[in-house]
Amino acid sequence: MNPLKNQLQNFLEEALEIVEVIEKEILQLEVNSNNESVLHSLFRNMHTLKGSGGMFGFTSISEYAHMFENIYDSLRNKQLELDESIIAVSLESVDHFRALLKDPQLKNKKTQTKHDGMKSKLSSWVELRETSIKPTIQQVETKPVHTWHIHFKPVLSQSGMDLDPISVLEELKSLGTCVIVPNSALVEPYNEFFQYEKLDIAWDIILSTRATMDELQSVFLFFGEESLIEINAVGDGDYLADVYFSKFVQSKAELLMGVSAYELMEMANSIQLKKATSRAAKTETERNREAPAKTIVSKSDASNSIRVETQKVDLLLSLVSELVTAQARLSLYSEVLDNPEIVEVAEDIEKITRRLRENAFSISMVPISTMETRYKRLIRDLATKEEKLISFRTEGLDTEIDKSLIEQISPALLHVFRNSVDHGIETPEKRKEQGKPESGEIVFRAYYSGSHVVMEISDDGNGLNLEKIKAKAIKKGLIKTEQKVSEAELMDLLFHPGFSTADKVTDVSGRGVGMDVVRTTFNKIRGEVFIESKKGFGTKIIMHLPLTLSILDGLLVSVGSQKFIIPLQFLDKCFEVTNFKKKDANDDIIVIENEQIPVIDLREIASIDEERPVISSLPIVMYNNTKVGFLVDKIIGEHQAVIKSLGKIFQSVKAVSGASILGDGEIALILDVNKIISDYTANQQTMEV
Amino acid sequence: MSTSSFNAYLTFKLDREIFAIPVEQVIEIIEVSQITKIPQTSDFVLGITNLRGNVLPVIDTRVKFGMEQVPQTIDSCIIVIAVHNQNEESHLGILVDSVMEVSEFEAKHIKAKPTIGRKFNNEYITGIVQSEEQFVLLLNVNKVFDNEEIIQMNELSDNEGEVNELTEELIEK
Repeated sequence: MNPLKNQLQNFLEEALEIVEVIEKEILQLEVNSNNESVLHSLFRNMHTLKGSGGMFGFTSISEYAHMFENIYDSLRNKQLELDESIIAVSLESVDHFRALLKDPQLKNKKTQTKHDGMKSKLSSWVELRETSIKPTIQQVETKPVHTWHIHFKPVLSQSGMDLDPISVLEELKSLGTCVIVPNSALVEPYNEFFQYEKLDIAWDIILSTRATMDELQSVFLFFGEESLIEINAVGDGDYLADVYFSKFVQSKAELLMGVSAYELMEMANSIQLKKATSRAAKTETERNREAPAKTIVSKSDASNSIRVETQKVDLLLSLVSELVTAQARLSLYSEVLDNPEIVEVAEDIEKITRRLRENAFSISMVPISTMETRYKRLIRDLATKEEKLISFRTEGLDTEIDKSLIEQISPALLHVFRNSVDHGIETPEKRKEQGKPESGEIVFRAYYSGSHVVMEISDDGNGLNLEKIKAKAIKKGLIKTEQKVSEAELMDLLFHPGFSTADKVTDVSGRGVGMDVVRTTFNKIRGEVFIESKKGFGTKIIMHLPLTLSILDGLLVSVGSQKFIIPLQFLDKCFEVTNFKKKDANDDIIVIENEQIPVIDLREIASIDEERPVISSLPIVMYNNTKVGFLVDKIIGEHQAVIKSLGKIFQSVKAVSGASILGDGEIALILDVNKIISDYTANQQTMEV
Repeated sequence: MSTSSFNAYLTFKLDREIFAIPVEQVIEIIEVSQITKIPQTSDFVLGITNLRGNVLPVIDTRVKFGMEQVPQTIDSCIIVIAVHNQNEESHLGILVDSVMEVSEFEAKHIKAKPTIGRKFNNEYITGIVQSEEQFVLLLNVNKVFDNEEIIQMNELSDNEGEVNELTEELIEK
C-alpha cells in the first residue's frame, strides 16, 4: 500500500473512533449537562476531527466540524445552555460525520444534499443563538492580545508524514496578525551525505492574537513527538502593530534565517522601555525579564496502547497456531522416544506455547463496552421516537471477546435491542395501568461461562404473548390447530424465518426478518441463542458465543484413511451400526431409541472409495431441532482443533468449513454441520415436491 | 516489468511439454506428501496438503491442462507458487511431472504467443521460447490459476457430468 493511502486509511479509522467518542460524550452530556470535563473533551475531539479533516483536504469534514465546534465553544464559554435541541442536533451531526467519512468528497448526491441541509441547519441555529447572546460575545472579544513567538520545525520524513505544515501556518495566520519568518539556518551545507528527506525546514512565527496558549497548542495537535514546537510569549499587547518591532521582524524575514524568541523579547522590552511612560509598563517588563516565558515543547500524549494492523495480528495468531501444531508433534515424538531429557524440554515448550497462545489470542480481544455507545444511542433514539421512557443499564461489559466476533454479532444485537424497545417496553401510560414504574428498563449483561461468553439482553416489558404466537403460527401453517406445543417450542417459533408477531409493521422492526437472522448470526460463529419470557414481566434473550473463532472442540472421526472433525456443540449421542445398507436412494432413515433419524453417509459426501468396515459409528448431531446421523467408520476421540481456513478457492465447498492439522501432521477436515443438514433438508423438501 | 533483458524462469515438465513460470512467482519446491481430498471440488483440484503447519491447496496441473492423469513418480513434485488476483496474493501448490531447471531467457528470444493451433487456452501463455530443439511455453500463472475460475469450476462440480465438457471447452477456448 502506498504511504498516502495508508495514512488516509489511518485517518479514516481514527476519525471514526473520534466520532464514536463524541457520540458517547454527547450521550453523557444528555444525562449530566453540567459535566464540564466531558464538554471540554468533546470540544477537543471535535477540534481534532476538524484539524485532521482539513489536513487531508476534506473540506466538507473540517467545515462542518468547525460549525459544530462553534456551538460547543459557546457552550464551553457558558454563552449557551445545553438543552435537548442541542443534543438532538449534535447526534444528528454525529450521523452526518459518519456519512461524510464514507464520502468526504460528497460524490454521492444524497450526501451532498444532506450536507447542505445539515450545514444550513447548524448555521441558522448558530446565528439564532448568536443574536440572542450578543452581549456575552462582546465580552469574549475583549480577551487580551498577546504577542507570541512560535518556533515550528515539522519532521516530514517520519512515517511518510503527509501532514501539511502549510495548513497549520494558514490556521495561525487566521488567528491574528502574523509574520512567518522562514528559518533556513538549520539546513546543512551540501555534501555527499546530504539527504533531501532529512532536510530541516523550520519557521519562526510571530503572532499577535487573542488566542490562548492552549488554543495555539491545539493548532499543532498533529505534529507531535518528532516535530519541534516551541511556543513562547513575547509579551502582552500587539507588538506587530509597533513600527519598530514589525520592521525588525520584516528584516529578519528577508534574511530567511529565522528569529529567536529571545531576540524578540529583547526587542519587545526595548520598545517597552522606550515607551516607558507609565510605571505599570516598566514593572511588566521587569517581570518578563525575571521570569522568562514558559517554554512548552509539545509532545503527544503518552499512551499505553498501540495501533497495530489487523494483518499483523492475524499473522501472529497463525504463527502461534503453527507453533501449537509443531509442539503437539514434539510431545508425540518425545513420548515415543522416551528420553527423559527430551520429555523435559517438550514439556517446557508445551507450557510456554500454552502461555504464548493465551497471550496472543488475548491481543485480538476487545471489551464488549466498545459497542455500548452504539446500543445506548439506538435505544435513546427509538425511545424518543416511540415516546417511551427507557433506562439502559449495563453489567460486565468489560468482558472481552474476539474483535472479529464483535463486528459480526453487532447487527444481531442491535436487532434484539430494537425488539426490546419496540415490542417489549410498553408506553408509560400502559405501564402505569399495570402498576409498573413509568420508565422501563433494558439490561445488557455479559459474563464468562466456561469457554463461552454469555450475553443477556432483558427488558421489563410485557413479555411474549404465547397465545398470539400460537395463533400466528397456526395461521402461517407452522403448527396445526390441534397440535400440542410446549412453551419452549412456541418461543422457539420466533426464530423461524418470516415470523413476526407485531401487529403493525413499524420501520424499526416487525418486517418478519428478525430473530431468525439473530439465530443464523450466532450459529455462524458457533454460538447459540435462547429466549426466556414471562408474560407481563419481560423477555430475556440469552446469547452464548465462543471466546475465539480460531479454536474448536470437536469429535475426531475417520472414514477410510480420511479424518473429519465434527464440532462438539452439535453432537448429541453416538451409536454403532452393524452392516449398514441403504435400502434405496431416498430412504436412509434409521430407527434408534424409537426415533427416526436420517443418516448422512460421509463416505458419499467425500466420495471415498475405501471399503466400509462391518461396524460403523453413527454420531448423531442436532441442529435447529433436526437430528441427523453421520455415518463414519470410527470415532477416534475428542480433539481441540486449531482451525485453518481452506483458502479462497474452496469458498464454494459447502460440506467443509475448515481444516485442522493433527499432531502427526495429517489434515482433518472440519465438517460444516449446519450447511450439511440444511442442504439435506432442502433436498428432502424438493424430493417431496 | 523488469528492465533487464534477461528473465529467469523455472522450467518443468508435463508429459512431453516443457513449461516455464517466472521465478519471482515461485516460492519453493516441495516433495509430494499426503494430500487430503476436499469434497465438492473440481477434478483438477487434488486437495490440501500440510506445508509446515499451514494448509496449501494443490492443483493437478496435468488435469488442469486437459492431459491424462498418471500415477506419481519419484520425479513428481509440487511447486509452491504465489498467484496474484485482485490485489491479493495467495499460495497454491501445483503438481508437475518433474522440475527441470532455472533458465534465463533473453527477452529478444521470447516469441509472441501463437494465435492459433495450440490446444491450450491462449490467455494462459505469455510467450514461447525455443530452447534446444524444444519449445518452452511461458505460463501466465495468474491467469492459469485464477482463483475466481477455480471457484467457478468447484461450484460446477456439484452438478457433475457437465463439468468435464466445460473443462474441455475452457481449455480449447
